[in-house]
Amino acid sequence: MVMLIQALLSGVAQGAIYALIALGYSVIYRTLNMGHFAQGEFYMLGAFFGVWLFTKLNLPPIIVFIASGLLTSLVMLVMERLAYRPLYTRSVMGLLISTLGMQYVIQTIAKIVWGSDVKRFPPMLDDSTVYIPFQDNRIAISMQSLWVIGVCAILLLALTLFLTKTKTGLAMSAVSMNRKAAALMGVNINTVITSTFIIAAFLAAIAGVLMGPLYSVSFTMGSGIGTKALTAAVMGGFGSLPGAVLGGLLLGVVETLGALYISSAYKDLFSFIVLISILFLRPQGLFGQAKVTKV
Amino acid sequence: MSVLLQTSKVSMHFGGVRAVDLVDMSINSGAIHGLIGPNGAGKTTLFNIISGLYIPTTGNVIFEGKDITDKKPHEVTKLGIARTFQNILLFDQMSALENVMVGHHSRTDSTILGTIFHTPKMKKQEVLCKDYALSMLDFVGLSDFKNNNAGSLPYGQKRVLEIARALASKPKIIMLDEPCAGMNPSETDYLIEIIYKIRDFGITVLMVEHNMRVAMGVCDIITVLDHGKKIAEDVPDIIQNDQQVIEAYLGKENLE
Amino acid sequence: MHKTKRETKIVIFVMVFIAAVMPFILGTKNNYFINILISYCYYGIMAMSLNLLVGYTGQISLGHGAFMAIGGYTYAILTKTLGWHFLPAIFGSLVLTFLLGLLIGLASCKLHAIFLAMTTLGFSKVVSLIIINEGWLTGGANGFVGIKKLTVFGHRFMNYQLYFVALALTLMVALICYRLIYSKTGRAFQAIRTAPIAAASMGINVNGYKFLVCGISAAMAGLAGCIYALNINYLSADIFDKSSILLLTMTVVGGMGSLFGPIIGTLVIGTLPELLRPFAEYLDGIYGVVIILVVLFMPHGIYGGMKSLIDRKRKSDILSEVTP
Repeated sequence: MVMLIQALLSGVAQGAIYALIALGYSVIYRTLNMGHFAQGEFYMLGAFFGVWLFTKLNLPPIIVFIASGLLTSLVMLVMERLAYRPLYTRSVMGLLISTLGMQYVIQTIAKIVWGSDVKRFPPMLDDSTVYIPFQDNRIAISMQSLWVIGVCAILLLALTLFLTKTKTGLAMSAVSMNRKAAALMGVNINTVITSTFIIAAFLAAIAGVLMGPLYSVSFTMGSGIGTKALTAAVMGGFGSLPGAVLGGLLLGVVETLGALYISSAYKDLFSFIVLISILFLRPQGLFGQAKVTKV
Repeated sequence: MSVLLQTSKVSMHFGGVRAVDLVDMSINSGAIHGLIGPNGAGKTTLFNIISGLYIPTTGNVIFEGKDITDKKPHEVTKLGIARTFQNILLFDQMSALENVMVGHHSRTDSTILGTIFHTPKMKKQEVLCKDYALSMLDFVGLSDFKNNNAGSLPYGQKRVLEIARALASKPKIIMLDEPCAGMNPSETDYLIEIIYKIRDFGITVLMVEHNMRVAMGVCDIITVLDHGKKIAEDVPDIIQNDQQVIEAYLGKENLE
Repeated sequence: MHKTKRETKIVIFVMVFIAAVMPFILGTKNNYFINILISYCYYGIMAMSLNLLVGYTGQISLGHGAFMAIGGYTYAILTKTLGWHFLPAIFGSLVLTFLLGLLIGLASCKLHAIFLAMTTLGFSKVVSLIIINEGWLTGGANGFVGIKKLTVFGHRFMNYQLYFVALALTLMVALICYRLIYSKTGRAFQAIRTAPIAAASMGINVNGYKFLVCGISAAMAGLAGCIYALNINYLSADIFDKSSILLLTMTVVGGMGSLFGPIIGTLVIGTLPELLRPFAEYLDGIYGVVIILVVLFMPHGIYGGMKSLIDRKRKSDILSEVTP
């Protein structure tokens, strides 16, 4: 029982990280109908910026989070301008392939700038472990996990407020429903696209800063988690924001429990099995809307 | 005249919307049958049901006495129902000829293995397919453009190419979804000529048309849909003066 | 019947001729070059198979390397562990990859683009997980060592002789692709890519063809895997993991949706690692940049670019003949 609760907690923390990155995938898909395969690399960039800001410039944690998010967003916007924007009006396949290429470009840039060794990210937030007595045993709760869950919750709240209360947020929702109509109604598509990519990069970067101290930072850390988060986003219904969050949490919990009770070597297999079973039951994902074929 | 195609109490619901509501329609063999109605009346939805893209919520589609309601689109085509699309769906990167050859797909029975081993039977089928496609291009007067990419053809020719492609499947009935939409008067006249030729060829025509001049002039019989319901079905002269039809088109309040 | 132009025939003949005499020019004992030549063969087959799937039928696969891995490992297990003769072993891996390809085909019938991409990516992760964790079968993380060289009737094939076998298989695959593409089947593939609804309404069994093309393409990848195993005599999961991006680069750079494209792509991209030895560490990034540049500036790849250049020149030639 104690093990189960501990596993659930770390599963939720892991899932919250997946959710942050998955939100990036979904928010981009919602606006542009494109799968952004390089998304995981921005998680990696966030972690690297975080290490640099924290260890070299000795900035306080809150500034590290925000500055890393902003720097990552800046990289994202430059990449978007160079490699994605000219393709929006062309084939979907070309855009998809461009994002795949981008994944390797960013990895290589990180390798050139920061080298290929693994970097240690010193704990930035409280990393103690709290023990809570439970029945005749005690539950170990790492403060890091709580921090992760807390920060994710705050970001989700902020994102929800942004999308429902601000003009740009509402414009984003309008574009996701009907791009042409939104443009006709005077929505500035460019602003919407820019804010979409900033949100995606920012969330991924924060996830990177959060996770950096828990593991270590290296230029390859993004691709694996990127795939996981994409799985989560697809599972939840690609383009659906609540779906991305739910998919992320589900994936985190399934993985942790699967690793605990079945086999840790096949941890990644469970996420795939869950994905496949969901897609076969609901090809559009949990929260996705079934498309009616229009002729 | 015998009934070729029949829908009986066909309904299609999308969420709470009844796009098609209990429509009974019979199409006689050899007729040019019109299907008209204001925007959103459910005409294209009905086409999609007949051609197998949608499975209706209730009701049946009967073709030559057989129930084809649950058949898949490619099976429906093989039985002899061909169609064109309201917003032209051609295979843009392929030549006009290849487009029409795709239309002939269900009438050739060469297999993938035959293709890989290049059997004489398969070669013969290919030649026959190409000849048939050429004759269809000739039928609609597009022979000169056979090697042009379908995507690069002007709008009017695209519509005509779609008809040739549909004809290549040797249909018993061809369903034309707004064949004259976006055409100028001389193109429209040319299209009317083609529709008559198709009928004289022995193929039944079911067409959705917004251009009243065309619908009233060409069709032998017209079915009128409004809000998914059939509100009238008769020869053009009577349809033209039908009070319900006029109301549907102009709106009740405009008349009062 | 599709008629091949005379110039095209000449180009094909010259290419095959060059490919055939290459080992004698470079030296039949020069294993370094021969290995590069053989790598053109298996990557060429892979690129053609991916092209059939992505370029012609429009079904995105991000885990095509997995089928190459399955082909290679199946061959290795059948010949070394079970002691099979090489022919039934190759046949066995073709059958297995074909069947697993059909499994992905099942998914492609049901899922839209991005969902399918995800499924194929997941599938390839699962395959590499199994390879790494089931050491008793696959050698695990240490890789599968000691795959026998090709031996027929006691005659052990030299590397350059293996190259001719590989070349023959590559040409066979090219011929199959050619025949498929210029036929009813190929037209159906392209119709499905451009307008699936219209394709269905023209009597094409869309799901049937998607299903089948996944199987065929997977079996081709399996064959490439067998050649790889025969050539390198060693297999490990990470080589195949990496090959997915390499293959995509080859197909995209050469030009998707054309028969020559993948072959050109294979020759160009396959040569890059050799030319860029000093930058080997940054190779993935270079592929990335190349992919993006090609997508941006040559949407139809090198082949498409060359073709439009030639067409333009032809047009201006005709014009200059007409106007005095």
